[in-house]
Amino acid sequence: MNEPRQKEAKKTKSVVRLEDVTVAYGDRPALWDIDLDIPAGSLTAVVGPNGAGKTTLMKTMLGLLKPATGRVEILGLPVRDARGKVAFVPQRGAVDWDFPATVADIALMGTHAGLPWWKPLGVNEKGRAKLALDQVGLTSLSHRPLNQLSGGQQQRAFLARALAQNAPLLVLDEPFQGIDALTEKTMLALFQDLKAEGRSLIVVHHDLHTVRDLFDHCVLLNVRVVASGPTKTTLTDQNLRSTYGPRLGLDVARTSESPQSVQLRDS
Amino acid sequence: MNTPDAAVAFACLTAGGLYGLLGSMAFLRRQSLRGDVLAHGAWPGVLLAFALTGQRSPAILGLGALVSALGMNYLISFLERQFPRLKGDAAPALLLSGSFAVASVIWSLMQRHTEGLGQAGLKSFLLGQAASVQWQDTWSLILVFALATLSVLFFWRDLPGVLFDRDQAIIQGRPVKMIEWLLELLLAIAVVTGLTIVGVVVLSALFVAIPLAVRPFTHRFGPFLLASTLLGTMIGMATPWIVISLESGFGNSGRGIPTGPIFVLAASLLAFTSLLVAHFFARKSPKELPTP
Repeated sequence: MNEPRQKEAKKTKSVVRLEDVTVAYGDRPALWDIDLDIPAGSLTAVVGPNGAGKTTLMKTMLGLLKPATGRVEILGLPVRDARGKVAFVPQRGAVDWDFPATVADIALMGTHAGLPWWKPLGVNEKGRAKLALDQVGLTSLSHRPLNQLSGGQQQRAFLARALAQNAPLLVLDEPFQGIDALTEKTMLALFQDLKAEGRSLIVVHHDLHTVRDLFDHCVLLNVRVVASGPTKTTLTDQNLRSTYGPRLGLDVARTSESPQSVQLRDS
Repeated sequence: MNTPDAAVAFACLTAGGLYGLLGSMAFLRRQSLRGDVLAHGAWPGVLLAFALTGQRSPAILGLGALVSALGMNYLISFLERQFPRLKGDAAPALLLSGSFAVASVIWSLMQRHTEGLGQAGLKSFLLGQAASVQWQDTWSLILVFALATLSVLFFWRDLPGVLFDRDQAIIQGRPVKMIEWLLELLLAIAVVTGLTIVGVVVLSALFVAIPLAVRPFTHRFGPFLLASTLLGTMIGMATPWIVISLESGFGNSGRGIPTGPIFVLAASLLAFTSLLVAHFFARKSPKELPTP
């Protein structure tokens, strides 16, 4: 999209670097020989069919899963040392929403990262949580109990928690699932703002139209990395076919060629 | 009307508060069944400790109980790691009935070889018997309660995060392992110290009933924990009085009414009432409100 900025991002070091990473559940490999280099300051989409290992890739990057082989480096550090410097927005179903807490409580949890356990939350933390709630438009619901939220509100509460963490790298696992078009637009605009602030975002995402329009970097994944790089050169029909299989890839590629119709559908 | 022994009264109310406090967190972790495994798992330990030493000192029996309860607790994690097919409640279910079976076998073997098992007071571990409670039991319960409260206050800021979203807490670099380990150890110690009051069979119902009763009326972590602890204390306060009035009401045939079931019945009745009240009187949840 923006040539000078992309060049600038290329010069800076990478936020995520994977070398020869293989992850397996039992004897079934979920990720096979992954080499990945995601530049700092990019808005990266991770794209692939179901069972391609997208969530596994996220969890490996976050240090929740140990790879069988290979090296993972986050922000130039080993995963363990990068803890607290990466914010994660999991899929909504990952937690039990019948937990006694309010929306504001969840946002505040984001500020715990990097804070010594004995230190009480101060004005700074509360301010960050408040700002994060404001950014996702949940200020008026900040005192609402979690079990009274709609799916989209839950997703935004998760996003607020991640924003409150003030991390240089944000990882989001299908943040638009079950979300209405308007909220999705607001969130995508927010992603652009964060990118403009110099933060890096890695998003597991299904909608190839928005990937083409708004993400400057993408990773096509199907157990192996099919392709990875700037969206313009990476998100090609050829690559999509080898990611999704010949028939589906063609469908996806064809519809993604007319951005005009996409705009219409969204509004 | 008779009054309960002071040692018994204090033991019961402390146990109630302790189970309310720790139960509420087990409830949030969906690990209520683990309390049941700990309780049932303690039973063979109690019997073995007695069989090996021939003494009914609370310290020795308690140690036996703690070791075998922690062993069972570890076995759950071990089995779930080794056999991923044992999902959800499969491993706990296997171990809790398994350890009860083991204990029953030991019990019948011991009866053949040892005289006066009943007099040794071991039976009171099954369903709990307030009459067998001595001051040292009471003091150990108070000590455990103090330890649990301190631990909770110690990790107060990180507790909700760990209980709500474990993965997130790990990513944020919180001391997740430490907190979980501490909660499990406290649960095991609490179960073991309270055995003489509530017994191995029905104990875990308290871990569910007390938090369940307060959940509909508390929407934040702190109030939920506090309400659960207070309600547990109140039920614990009432239990010895109920036992005594039942015993005097039934005359001779009412002697030796076990404390555990009364404790559990009182808590379950309250939980049931609370759910009914919440169902009929709580305001409708504004789920369908449009987002501003």
